[in-house]
Amino acid sequence: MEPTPLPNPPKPDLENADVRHLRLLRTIRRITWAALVVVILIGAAGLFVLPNLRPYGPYGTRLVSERPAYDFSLVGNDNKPYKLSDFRGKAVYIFFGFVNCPDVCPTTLSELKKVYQALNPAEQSKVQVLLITADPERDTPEVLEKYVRFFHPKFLGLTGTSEQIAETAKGFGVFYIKSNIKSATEYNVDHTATTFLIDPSGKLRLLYGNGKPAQIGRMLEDLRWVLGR
Amino acid sequence: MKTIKLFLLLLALALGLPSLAQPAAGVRLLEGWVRLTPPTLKNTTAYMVLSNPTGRALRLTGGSTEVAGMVMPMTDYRETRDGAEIQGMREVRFLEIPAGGRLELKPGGKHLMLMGLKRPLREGEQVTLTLRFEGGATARLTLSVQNR
Repeated sequence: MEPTPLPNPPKPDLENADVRHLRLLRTIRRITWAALVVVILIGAAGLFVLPNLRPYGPYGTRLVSERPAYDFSLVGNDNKPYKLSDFRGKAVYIFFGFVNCPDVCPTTLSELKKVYQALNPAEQSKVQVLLITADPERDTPEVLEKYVRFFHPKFLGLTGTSEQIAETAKGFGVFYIKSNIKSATEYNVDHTATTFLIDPSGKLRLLYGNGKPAQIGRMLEDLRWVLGR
Repeated sequence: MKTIKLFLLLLALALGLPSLAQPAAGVRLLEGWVRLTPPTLKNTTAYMVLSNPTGRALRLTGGSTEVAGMVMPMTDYRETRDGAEIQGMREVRFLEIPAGGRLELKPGGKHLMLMGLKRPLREGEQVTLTLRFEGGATARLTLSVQNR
């Protein structure tokens, strides 16, 4: 006698449920993957775009309100007259110092020399370094010529009458006074040792306190930023 | 011990390091240089790091060198005038190296001034200085002239 066949379980229904379940899972998996890819792509794009959107934070000190730098009229170590506005189109570093200054001035000028030498020739043609004397009595164009050329032949030393230098210093908020006076020709000059960076349109943009220009890399970033705007 | 000292001295010389030939005051020169200045200048500066391994403070009061008239201890000086900071330097009686500590003479800070250069210095030239300390002790050291 044959055994009575077992009644069929509701197989088609069960299969349908399994298939539907699997399809749903597959769809969920696909959506998850797609979402993950989109998130990764947006993230990657953000990495490239965001730094360009974020404003550049310069190393130098910014002025509360940007203003045109004082347009001086002085005489160069080549005996030619110079105004700041003659340097439109160039970024200009200005440092006040004096020739008989054995510590602070050569340190800053050496730092600016390193910055200048790190530029390519095209960039160098858009940058001018100026030393304005805080000692106009001793620093004639001839004295400045020998001094400034020692640091870089493209650097320019500027002098003038005592009144012209006083006006220029005032225009930049620089103060200077003789110290250690031993005779009419032997003395030191205490002076503001800030380096000023003026942009190609003649605006005073950044200030560097004494010692700060030693960070050549950061100085270059600032300089390229000022040149690029 | 003597042979070790001699060996170290020779090693320092061989490596071109500034050396203390006669550390009578007990100071050690860790590093140092003399600034190359434009040939028209009559003064320059010497920078160095000195350590004092002895148990008492040493006071550097100045010194002498064949290339200049005077060696003077200087310190940087800052004050604010009319809202602007001004900077300069002042002659001081001495610069102190604390017991077991060090004295850093560096650009923009404390330094030695070589006043009245008798001739322009050359880059790479070795300049011998005799440092003088309070109480009469001295130390001879040699520094190279550098365009930094």
